[in-house]
Amino acid sequence: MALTLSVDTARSSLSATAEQISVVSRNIARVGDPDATRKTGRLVSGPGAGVSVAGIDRSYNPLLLNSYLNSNSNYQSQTAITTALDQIQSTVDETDLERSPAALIAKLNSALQSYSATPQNPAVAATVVSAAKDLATALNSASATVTNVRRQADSDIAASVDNINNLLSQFKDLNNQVVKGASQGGDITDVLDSRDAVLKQLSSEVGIRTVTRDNGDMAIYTDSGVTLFDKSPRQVAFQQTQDLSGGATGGAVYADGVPIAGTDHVMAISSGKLAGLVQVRDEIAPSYQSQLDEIARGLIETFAETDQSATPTLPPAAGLFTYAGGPGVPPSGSVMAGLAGSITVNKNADPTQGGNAELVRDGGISNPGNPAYTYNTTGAASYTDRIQALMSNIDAERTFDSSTQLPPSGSISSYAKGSVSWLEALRQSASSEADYRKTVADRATSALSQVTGVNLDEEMTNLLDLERTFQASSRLINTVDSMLSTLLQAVG
Amino acid sequence: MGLYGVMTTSVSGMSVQSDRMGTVADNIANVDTTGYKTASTEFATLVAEGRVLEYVPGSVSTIARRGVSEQGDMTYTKSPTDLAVSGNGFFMVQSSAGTPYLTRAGSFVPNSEGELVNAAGFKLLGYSLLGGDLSSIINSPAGLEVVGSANLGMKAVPSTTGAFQVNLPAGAAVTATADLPGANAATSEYAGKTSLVTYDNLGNEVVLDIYSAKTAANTWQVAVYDHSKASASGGFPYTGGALTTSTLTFDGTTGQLASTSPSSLSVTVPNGAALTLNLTNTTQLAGDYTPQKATANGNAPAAVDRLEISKGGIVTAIYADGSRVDAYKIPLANVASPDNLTAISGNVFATSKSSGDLQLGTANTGSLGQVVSGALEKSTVDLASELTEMVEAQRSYTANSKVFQTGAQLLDVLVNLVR
Repeated sequence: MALTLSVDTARSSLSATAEQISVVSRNIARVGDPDATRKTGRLVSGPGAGVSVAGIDRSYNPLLLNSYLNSNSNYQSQTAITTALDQIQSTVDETDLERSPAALIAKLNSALQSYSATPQNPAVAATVVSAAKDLATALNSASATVTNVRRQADSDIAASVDNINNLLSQFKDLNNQVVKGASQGGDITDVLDSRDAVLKQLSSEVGIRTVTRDNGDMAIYTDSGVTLFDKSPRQVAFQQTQDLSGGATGGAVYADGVPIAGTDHVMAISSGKLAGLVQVRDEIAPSYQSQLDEIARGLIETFAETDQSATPTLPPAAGLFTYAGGPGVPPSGSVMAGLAGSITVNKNADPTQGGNAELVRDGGISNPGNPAYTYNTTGAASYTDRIQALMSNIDAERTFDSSTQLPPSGSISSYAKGSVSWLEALRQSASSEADYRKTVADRATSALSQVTGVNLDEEMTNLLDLERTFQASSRLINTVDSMLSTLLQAVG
Repeated sequence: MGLYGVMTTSVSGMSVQSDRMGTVADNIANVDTTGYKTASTEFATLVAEGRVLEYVPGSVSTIARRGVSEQGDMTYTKSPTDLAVSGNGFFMVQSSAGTPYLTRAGSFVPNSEGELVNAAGFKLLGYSLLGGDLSSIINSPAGLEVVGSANLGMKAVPSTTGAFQVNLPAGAAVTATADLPGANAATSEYAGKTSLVTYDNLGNEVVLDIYSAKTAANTWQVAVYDHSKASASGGFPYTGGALTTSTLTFDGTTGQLASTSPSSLSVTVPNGAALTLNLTNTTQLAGDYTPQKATANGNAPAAVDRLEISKGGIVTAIYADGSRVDAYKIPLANVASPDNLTAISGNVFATSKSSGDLQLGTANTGSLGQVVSGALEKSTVDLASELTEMVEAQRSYTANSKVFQTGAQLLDVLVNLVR
């Protein structure tokens, strides 16, 4: 039996080597695939005297994968925030064009100064009104931009939720294949790679935590512990809000019936694109919106006209700046949602709409027919008291809503400047935080790919080894063959 | 008389050498037959018993031997139902007529009825384990059944045991009694929720929602609801109320479950069995609500996907969902003198008077050896020794024929004396 046994052993070595070479070729073919792990054939001796490939293993490191998933989720949430802030920043504050509310308030102030030097010149009065119009338009467009960013975030949340549901249903198929394959001892390494790839995509959308169970079965929870997948995917639901202008609140994201982000969240997620988008929609953009609203309210208040009668009976009325709810002045010291969107220059003072720009000097813009609000009672062309008063109003200390993340008292111009620097500071810190998280995510990616990825040099070396083994085994068969033929010749 | 004796003796010599050539031919023909055992020839003298003064040549007779007890080499195959015995045992198989035989040829494949049949058409026999484990094995083929997947239908397993291990956030706010999950009110609040897939008696998926809420320092309420009864929003209130509620207490120092606290959660799955969720290792530590392990056994209805055979000869049915059920135990047989078994066509052996009676036992016990799945026992024929044996036989045959030839020539001489 010895000779035939030798041939058998050599044959088993040939077939095992061939199988290993097919594993190497799989590795080489997928060298550029970031989701592919390195596969190795597991050699065992026997059954009998030979050797066989008992299974295919893959290089796998759950800790590194987890750190990749976490850092990716963190990076994605920060990227969503930075993108939104860049968008707000680029349209609201183009410093070169001086389109920020703060710069335009300064312009209005200097127009008023020129006007106070030449109060009799109606052309200068028109520049004051035009500067005021620029300011109102800037606030309107800034408010529209913020609303737009929120609406965009809301639709991105909907897209992200759709993507999550889609990924979870893909995950179900792959997980079933893994469980089935693992219990049968088949080669499931490629399915595991695909499943990990789905996890990686999922981690971009929402922070996740995974738990592995018998037969490679995996359960997915959000970073806050809500079940996303356990044998079957859980429903992630979100209702898009059509109108997000002003202070309207958006809908919450539900996973497995638990609100995980947005209004009245219970087990709030802390990372992933979804978390970043919800933060933009519900915190950052509304904060900036309320600051714009406060600037608008401050302007209306600054330019408001009071009853000039000997015994004032009428309430203050909106002057140069008015809004949809005019001519009454909005209540002081608290945000009126959506004000920045509706602030306009009173048409009574706007020459292009048939108004009289000189009313800035004389007062009575709120109601030219009512003499109670007229400051320049004598109609003198050199009357500057009202203009001076307006200029000092701009610098006057006033109270702002304390919920806007800016100092609650200060002048309207300092508040507007504060808003600009708040946004810039937020954008800068968000951007540097995003850079930091990107670095961490990149490190995690390279650490993962170094440990689990395919290394071409290593594969080529393996290939050489295998080639030698194959040659040696073939030589053995050759030798046994020639021995047997010697014997046959002896018989013949 | 003597010369005739020489001729008959040499004829018997040639006859036994051709017998020997017969075994060599048989062996070489079966060099690749799975489970084949080498046949060999032994020779015995036949002498004329008489006085020594006159030598009477006797003759020689053949005794054919078969090395049944010799272990063949294992060869590796890709099929898990290819079986080999590493040891002294034999598989019990049955012919199409129903007669039990012993064999070492284990290249079994499922036939159209799911029965395991080897290359020669013999069906593998085993004891069914579906009615519970065997108490003992008797030394007779009685009670053996054909191993197959035909009587393994679809099955569903209702959930009975599971584990629910989470970390409950120690810093969570205390929930008012009216707003506890157990109150099942629209205003119910909770610190964490995990949903768990379980199976009812018919294998339907039943999702259980498990809510945890802090009721006081180191005290938590856990409430379990049937997810299908949830309100339209997917949360409270559930119709029909909680399936169970339980109060857990924790040791304030270690954060582990207090010794007085229940360490498991019993809940009856709707339309299913009583499920016991093990709560050991549930902790109350700082940090988020973190599910460590939330799982329950049971499976949806599934059909048999394939059979797997362990070293101990246990045939396990693997269902499509990955669950496993031990279906058969393959016994191994042996006899007192295996080399005296009668060889029957198809690589099978039958017991004979000289072999002794059938003894059945479990694989991995005694000298029976173990069942190796995914391997076949090769023929024990060694080509090199067969070829040398052939050369020997040829030379011996030639020598005998020379003796005959010489005897004939001597007779010729004798006959010529007469002329």
